[in-house]
Amino acid sequence: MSKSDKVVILQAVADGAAAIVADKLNFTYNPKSPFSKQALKDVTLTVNRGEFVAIVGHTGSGKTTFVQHLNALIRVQSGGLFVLDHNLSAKKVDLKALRGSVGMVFQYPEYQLFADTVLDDVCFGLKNFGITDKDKREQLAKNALELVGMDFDKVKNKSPFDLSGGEKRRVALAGVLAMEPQILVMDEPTAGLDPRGKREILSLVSSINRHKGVTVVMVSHDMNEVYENADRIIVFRDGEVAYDTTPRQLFKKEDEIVSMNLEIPHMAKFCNELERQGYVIPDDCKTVEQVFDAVLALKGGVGNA
Amino acid sequence: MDIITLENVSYYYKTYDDDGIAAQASGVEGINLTIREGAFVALVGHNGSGKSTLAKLFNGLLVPNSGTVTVCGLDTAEKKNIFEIRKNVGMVFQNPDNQMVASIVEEDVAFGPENLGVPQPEIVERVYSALEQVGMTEYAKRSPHKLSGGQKQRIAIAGALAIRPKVIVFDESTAMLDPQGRREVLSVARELNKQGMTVILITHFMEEVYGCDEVVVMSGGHIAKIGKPSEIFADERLLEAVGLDAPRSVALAAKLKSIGFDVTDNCIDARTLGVEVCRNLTK
Amino acid sequence: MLKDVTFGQYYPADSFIHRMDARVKLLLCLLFMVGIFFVTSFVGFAFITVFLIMLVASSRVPLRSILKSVKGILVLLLLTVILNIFFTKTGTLLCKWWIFEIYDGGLYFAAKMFLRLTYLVVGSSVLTLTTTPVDLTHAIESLLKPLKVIKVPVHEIALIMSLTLSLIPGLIDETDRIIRAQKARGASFDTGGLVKRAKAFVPILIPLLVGGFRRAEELANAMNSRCYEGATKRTQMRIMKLSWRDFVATFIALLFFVTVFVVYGMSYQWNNTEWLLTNGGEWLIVNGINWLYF
Repeated sequence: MSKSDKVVILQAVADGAAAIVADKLNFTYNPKSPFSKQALKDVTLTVNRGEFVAIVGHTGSGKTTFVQHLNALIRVQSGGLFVLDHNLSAKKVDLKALRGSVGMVFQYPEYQLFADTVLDDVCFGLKNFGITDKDKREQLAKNALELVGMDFDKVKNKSPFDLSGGEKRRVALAGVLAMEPQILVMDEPTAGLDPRGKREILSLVSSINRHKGVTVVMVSHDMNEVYENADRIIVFRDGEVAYDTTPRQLFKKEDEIVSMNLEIPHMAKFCNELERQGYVIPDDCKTVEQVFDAVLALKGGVGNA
Repeated sequence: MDIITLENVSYYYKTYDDDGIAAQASGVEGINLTIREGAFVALVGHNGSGKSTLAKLFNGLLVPNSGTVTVCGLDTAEKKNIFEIRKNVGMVFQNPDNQMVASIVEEDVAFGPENLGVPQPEIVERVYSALEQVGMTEYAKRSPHKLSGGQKQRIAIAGALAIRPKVIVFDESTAMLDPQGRREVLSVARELNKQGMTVILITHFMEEVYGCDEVVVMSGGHIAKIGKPSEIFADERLLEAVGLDAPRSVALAAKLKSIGFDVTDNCIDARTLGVEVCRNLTK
Repeated sequence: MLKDVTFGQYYPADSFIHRMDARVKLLLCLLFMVGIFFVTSFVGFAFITVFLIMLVASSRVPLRSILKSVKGILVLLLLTVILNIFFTKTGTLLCKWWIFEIYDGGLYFAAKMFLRLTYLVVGSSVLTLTTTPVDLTHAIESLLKPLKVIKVPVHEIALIMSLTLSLIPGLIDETDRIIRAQKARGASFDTGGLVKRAKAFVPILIPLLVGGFRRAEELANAMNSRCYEGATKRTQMRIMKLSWRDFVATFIALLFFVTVFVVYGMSYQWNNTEWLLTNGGEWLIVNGINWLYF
């Protein structure tokens, strides 16, 4: 990337349009050793502020490596990466400021809980990011716990280890949300949960995205949930960006998706079949209810004609 | 023939409050259930519904507080029966990393037969035929650590198979896997069942239930319903109440049917449903 | 990253030494470790050097890997040399500065200690580089078997070693994951004073500990489900068999040792029990360190 390009991109970030800009990002594990493995190859992508972007791909496709770049848990080896107003390709990055504004939720986040009480655990991040006022911390923790649907007064003094699996996950999530991040990066946030737990987490993430304007980057293996929730899907294959498009457009390429060992969401498969037979399905038609309504409309249309 | 029978079985976990006073939290209560030999039974329910407790009752890892669990005619509450029961009921657990006992695949699979005191030449034979069954023979000398989640679970299945059980219980063995790993484990489970193995599949992915002989729906430590997959999928109110979802295409088919569309029940393949709906639309 | 920490030092290759029975390798290595302390003359060390060169060459392990293990005890080596130079007061005085006196005896002694420790590490690292931890576990179990008579739980010890080996990669992964998760929550592990740094590890240690108990419970369930009932009637899949290689290797090694130790070492050393008293402790420490390599 030339210097002037960098300035242009930086400008885009500064203008507030883009939350994340990656330009020809490369990363190799164990470079210069017999075990070296290139995990990212020329990854170029943009995530706009307020967007809900899903990152999908087969295990080992580089998606986890990519998202770990976003708050500098993995440092840039080559290429450009801008997150909010931080240049992560620079030698020095203000890690505290970056990590305070990019919340990262790992797989099975409940396994990172450690404190004596739920309140202390949620406040851990706040303390680290320099919020010294105890009352303010408690207020932020309260907001976050209520946001994830927990009764603050009931759980604040409980040991996190006494909670159920689903509750633990929500407390862990609250620990990240309490910092009021501008970008929320999540690696398979629904893994291991039952259907109800999955729905709860997803609707929570959706509402944070929609009502608080938080940019969401979510890694997932569940194509159905990705299809229904994301504005845009980026598919990683062998460390490269293979597709970067809207859910509906992406899953029209059925053969290519299957060849990448990914599944096609039920509703996409259904709509594709109808479209193949000449029916027109609106582009924002993704959930069972939306598809049902679309079929109803078609039936009405056929009936009228 | 019935291979596992549960009669009025209850199991309570002990929990302790801040003062260390024990209280009983229910695991499962008043369970009556029979598993026929050669059946493919799915056990579904939300987290905490008691389905994993039930799994552990099947091979005597837990012994009921009341009621009896009989496996191949043996009562699991009798200590002397435990060895024989575990020889008949193999188990595959959720976390593939936490059930490996050795750092070489073949030695891990050999663990069971070694415990049984099987003579050495037969151990080798059992290990390799088990690895063959799960399609992992070429990994025999490797370290399990470097394998994918699905491959690790197949090793765990081989470890259970090497004991030569009559029943295999998959205790949420697909919960931590990616879709590919889930497919691998499921296809092995189905193949084993075809060869005559009794399979009990514990899961909360309703799509995995498709094709089972029988589905047991658990909720709050009780059995909420037992039936064929089609009967369970059709019972929208039950699924809603126990916090489970029918596969999306099945849910759509049910909705369409309710307004007079002529579509097959429980159509798991969304494309087939699409074809049928088109036929309805042009009618 | 923690992932780079390779566990065990095994260097995969197909050599004469790799194919030897682990039990024979282990015994010969022990013999070598004990024997090297009986070598005192430089001619003896020359012989050992030749032996080690042959050994390393036939193991097909790159010299770099072996020197890496020597590097691991560099501090101990330097300390030994310095202490021996300044505190051995035999022979003729070479120079004196303030309270420090250097005798030629000290220099000789330091040089020999240096060689001894280095060769000790080289010898034992040939063992660990050519034998997988699994094979070593089996060898130890097999060699300890006679102790069953005096009620040493040999099988349980071997099982614990084997379980540890199989759990370590997962544990490293989990540690890595927890560290990343806490870093993402703003934790830093390399700033502040000693107390602050030690405190910073609490958010890592507690989840690890909790996870450890969870793992242990799941593992116990898995083992029980696979009919584990202790060692009573257990059989084993792996059979260890001696081959011609092991006899040839033992013969060559013994020939070397006998020549070197008897001709150049023993006759002199027997009169020198004082040496054993002063250096026995150090011998234990070095051996302890070597065992840690496994």
